[in-house]
Amino acid sequence: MTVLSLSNVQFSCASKSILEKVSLEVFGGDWLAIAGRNGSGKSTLLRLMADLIKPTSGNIYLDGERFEDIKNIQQKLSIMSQRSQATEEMNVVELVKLGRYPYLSSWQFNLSNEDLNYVDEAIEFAGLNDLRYRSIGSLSGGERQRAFIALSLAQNTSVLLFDEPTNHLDIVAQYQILQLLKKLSSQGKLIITVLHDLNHIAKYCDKIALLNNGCLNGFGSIIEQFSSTALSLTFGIEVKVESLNGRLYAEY
Amino acid sequence: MGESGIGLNSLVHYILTGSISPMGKIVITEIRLPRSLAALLTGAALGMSGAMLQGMLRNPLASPYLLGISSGAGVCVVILISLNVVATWIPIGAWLGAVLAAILVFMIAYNKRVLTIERLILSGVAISSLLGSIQAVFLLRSDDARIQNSLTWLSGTLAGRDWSDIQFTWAPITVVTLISILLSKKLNLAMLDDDTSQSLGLSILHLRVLVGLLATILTACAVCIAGLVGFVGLVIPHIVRLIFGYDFKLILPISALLGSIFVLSADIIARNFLGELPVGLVTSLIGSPFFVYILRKSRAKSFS
Repeated sequence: MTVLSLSNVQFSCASKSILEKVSLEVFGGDWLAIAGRNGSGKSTLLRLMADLIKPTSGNIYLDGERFEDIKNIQQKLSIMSQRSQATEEMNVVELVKLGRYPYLSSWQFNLSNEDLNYVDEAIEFAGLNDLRYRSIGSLSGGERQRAFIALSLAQNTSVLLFDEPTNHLDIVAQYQILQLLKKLSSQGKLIITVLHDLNHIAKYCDKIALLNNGCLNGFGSIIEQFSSTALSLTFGIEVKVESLNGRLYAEY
Repeated sequence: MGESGIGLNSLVHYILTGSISPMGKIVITEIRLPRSLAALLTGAALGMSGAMLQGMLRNPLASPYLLGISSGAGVCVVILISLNVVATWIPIGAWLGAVLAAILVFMIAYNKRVLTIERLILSGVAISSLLGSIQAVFLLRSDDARIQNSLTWLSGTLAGRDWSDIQFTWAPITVVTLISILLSKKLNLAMLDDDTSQSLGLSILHLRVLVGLLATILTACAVCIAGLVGFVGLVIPHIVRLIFGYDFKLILPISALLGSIFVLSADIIARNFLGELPVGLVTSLIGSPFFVYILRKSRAKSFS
């Protein structure tokens, strides 16, 4: 089973510390939410986990192997960044095909039939079959976001990271995206998201990492960590947590 | 065709049988053939580097001349002409000026192991306008003959090109064009934002430096042959993308091919019908309306 673990990961930029010694461990099938105020280091933590930036000190391991020692890490980790962009005129299939590039050898310029199957499956999974040849620029916010999810899916990785995947979307599009991620996590993928909506976190995620000013304030299962004390401390405002029919709700 | 009256049938006859008048042979092998090759090489180099730069800079308005390459070449040539330097030095001066200006632009844009698109474009604009004004100063202080000389060169011309004009450029253009086609996968990934392309395995800094280098060599060689032929590097890649879509595996070779056909056709028109008008003016005069037509047609298609 997939295991992603961070041990004393610290990150500073221009001698300013952004993230202080974070240690945590998550497994395949988990859905981890990273929560905290703006500027608390959520995106930095996610980008470290995606190997987009290197820790200043400490190590990150995937299945017991240090990131630096992993060959073709792009076949194991994918990330949908907060500001995913593609040339507007490119169409959905062209975009999703790029997800197979980590699997091409240096002299291979065409996708194999197997690669194309992954592309088709990813498009189908994201519910974009009818929009295959539509240009990225002509998609609605939710469709666009799903196209980028399909790009991540085509990469066929065991760890999928998403930075605020529901941002700026209407509730239907938010719902569709959270359902897609839920399905992925039930298939045994490790899902890690930065999410702002605490009630989405309580409803969908298994684990939560609370960040405050670059420090990991709390990490653990939703049942342990989704408490009024922990959330109020993290966000600096009073957050009440209530349980209703076995589900947790946050009010603030 | 042409002013010498060696027609198409004499050419076909020559190719098929090998017999032709001595005068005709000279016209074909020493004048027309090198000039046509010069046109093909210029077009291929400009089409290719335009396609690469538009991809690398994620900017459809990028052209081979955006990164200061043209103004570097221009200022060098105008200075050389106004100093009355021997004409054989002019292509070399143009090449050096182009390369030095591009290096300067990249050095200004480079900061802490990062090369952002915005900084590249802005430093290109800054260097271009600086060199442009230096060029204007030299032009204004030249006499009329030299101004005309400079302007012809600045408009891009293939008049009087012979084997010596392509002997040093054909090899780099051919080799760099072939190498560039190998970058197609990386350029496809570069159509995504920095984080996403990096997470798919692209090293953005490497790509930007490599494309900058290859495109500069190509453009400098083209400038060295024909001066500043405009429009080709900007518009040919657009036409190719509108027709063939967004895969650089197709965009790069087809841009080179279409670029060379386009410059050759423009030059044939220029020397036969327009009294040796500089080819760079013909490319714009014919190319712009055609481009507008393609643009309108493609828009109509995407809305239907």
